[in-house]
Amino acid sequence: MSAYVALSAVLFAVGGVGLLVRRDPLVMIMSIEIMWNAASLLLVAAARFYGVMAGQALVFIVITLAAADVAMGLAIVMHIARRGESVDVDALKELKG
Amino acid sequence: MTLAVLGAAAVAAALGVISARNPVHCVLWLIAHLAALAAIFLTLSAEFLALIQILVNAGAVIVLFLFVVSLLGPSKEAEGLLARRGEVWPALMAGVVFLGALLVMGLHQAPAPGSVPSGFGSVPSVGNALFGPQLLPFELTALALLVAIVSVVTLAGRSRQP
Repeated sequence: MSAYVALSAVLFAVGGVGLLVRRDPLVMIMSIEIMWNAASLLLVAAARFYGVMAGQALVFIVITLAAADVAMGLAIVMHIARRGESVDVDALKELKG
Repeated sequence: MTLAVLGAAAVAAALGVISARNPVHCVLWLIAHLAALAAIFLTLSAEFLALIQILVNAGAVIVLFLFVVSLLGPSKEAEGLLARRGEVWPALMAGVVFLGALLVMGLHQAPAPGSVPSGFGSVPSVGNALFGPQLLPFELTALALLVAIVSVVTLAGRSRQP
């Protein structure tokens, strides 16, 4: 179990560093995806080691929510790109549509 | 041993995602990362979730990413928009501190592995958990998906009229 916890923590930290380091919103969304996956790995490992199916059911929900999250993020990126602005998160100053 | 190989593959692919300069290469690394995670799910006797991980994440979500990458085209800042040099080291330090905190919190109480019940991780057992004890979170997921659909349609429709 501790090996899975360590792997999940490493993946979560890698995703967090990616979120901080990159300025391309696409790659930032991919980093968030890595963090979602680290969380679901921890849930699956906990389900296996405690022998409870609730963990796997929650991972099903986590995967669904991650997909919805990616769709919304990409819609925002597309909206910004179609307005002809640079998709550099440092250059974006306002969220107002 | 299996976990070491698959975990190393997953971490290496995650590092590739956050360090590749071309966004398409980032997407390809993400596919490798998701495949490695699906294999780890298999070792944890979660066959159905491994399949869903491949179908939904490595299938639908990756297609979504590739569509947006190709719609946006090559960015004017061709360097893949890495951070300025002065921002990388603070981010790495924050990541190391964060990792240390996660390990300290997570590692000190690890239960002994139990035996696998029969049918653990199969479709009927996941379905029984999902539509039995976890029904309320499942229904709330439907609500969250509805909110996501409405927001995406609103965002995509509004940009058509300048």
